[in-house]
Amino acid sequence: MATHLLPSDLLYAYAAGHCAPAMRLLISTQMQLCDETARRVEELEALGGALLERVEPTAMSEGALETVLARLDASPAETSGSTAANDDDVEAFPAPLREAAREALKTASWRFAGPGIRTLTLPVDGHAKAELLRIQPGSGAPRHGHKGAEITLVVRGAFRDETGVYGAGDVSVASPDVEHRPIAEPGETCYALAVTDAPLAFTGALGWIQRAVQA
Amino acid sequence: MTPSAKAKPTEVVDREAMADLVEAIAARQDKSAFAELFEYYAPRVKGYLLRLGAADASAEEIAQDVMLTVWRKAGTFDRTQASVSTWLFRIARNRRIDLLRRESRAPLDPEEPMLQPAAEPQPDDALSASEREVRVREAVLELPPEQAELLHMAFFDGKSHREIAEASGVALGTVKSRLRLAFVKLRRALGEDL
Repeated sequence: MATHLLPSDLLYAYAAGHCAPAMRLLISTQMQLCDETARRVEELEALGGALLERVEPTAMSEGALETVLARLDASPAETSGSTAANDDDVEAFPAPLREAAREALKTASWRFAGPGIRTLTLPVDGHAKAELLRIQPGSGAPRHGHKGAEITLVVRGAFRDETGVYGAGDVSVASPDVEHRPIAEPGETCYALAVTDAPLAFTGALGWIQRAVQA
Repeated sequence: MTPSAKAKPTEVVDREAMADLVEAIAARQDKSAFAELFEYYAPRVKGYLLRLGAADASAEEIAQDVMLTVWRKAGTFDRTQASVSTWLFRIARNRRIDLLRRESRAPLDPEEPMLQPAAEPQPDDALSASEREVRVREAVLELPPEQAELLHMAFFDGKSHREIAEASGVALGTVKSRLRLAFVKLRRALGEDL
């Protein structure tokens, strides 16, 4: 099944805070590339805000306000992160992804994964994995989901796979039983963020991705 | 689900006033504005964290951290984009993820029917952020307490239908249909097709 937008269930999980870190990275990045995704997530965050107003308040400990007021003065000014950038393309990414890529590049580099293809594993906690793909126009490689689906967000450029063409901000959801083979379109280098083992990242009454993938 | 005698009655917060308070912090580090925000939001953030199963000491600590973040990041608040409640919910949600490192790994339940197809992209006359905020809030305020509690359990706590049924003593089928109904109301409030 192909979709250029994510199913609502994933956005619910993100907005509510039940997402695995790898998927959070993908969605927060997509929000910066795709107005529709940002709108949908913001609706749900507005729900979070309204529900917060209805939560039963629990008294803070005595002196809590004074403790925090004392910390206000001691609190350091907001500093921007270090700009140890060694990859110009990464610097142009949306902020959440840029930070993750910078972090990865401190200890790792882009690895050869086939002609015209390099990958960079991003450090994320938890079960699901996040990998940056850099694919030259015309190049591509088969990718297999192992235990579950692979969800790929195009960050720059575009790729074509068996289900269509995906540009910046689009996501391709690939089910595990179909060989997913993205090939970069002519033009600029294609950068994409691939999150794997996605189905294991979600649960709850608000649904999960596996069904969407097998639909 | 009767409110505890000690809890404050549900106050309908004046959102414009809250936004003024945050802007006062951003503009001139106004501590009395901060104290007002603290008084309203800190106990609710703590309540939110306790729902998630945090121990009292952790909930207290994280709630204080969230309020400290409100102080530090007041300059990033934009009243045309979101209400203070939504902005603060995001901060609390992100802190919770960072500090509790909660990742759901419950086995997947094939009975979960809350799947929504990807929404159709909205037409250009879609609601502005502030209209959206107003409508969502009204829809939530209008919910009867047991439906609001269901949403708290599903959205905030991340409980599965089964877990909600067990926690609330309500039949599984009823939980599912009530949750579906709550989301239908929300979508209608936002003027979206179902």
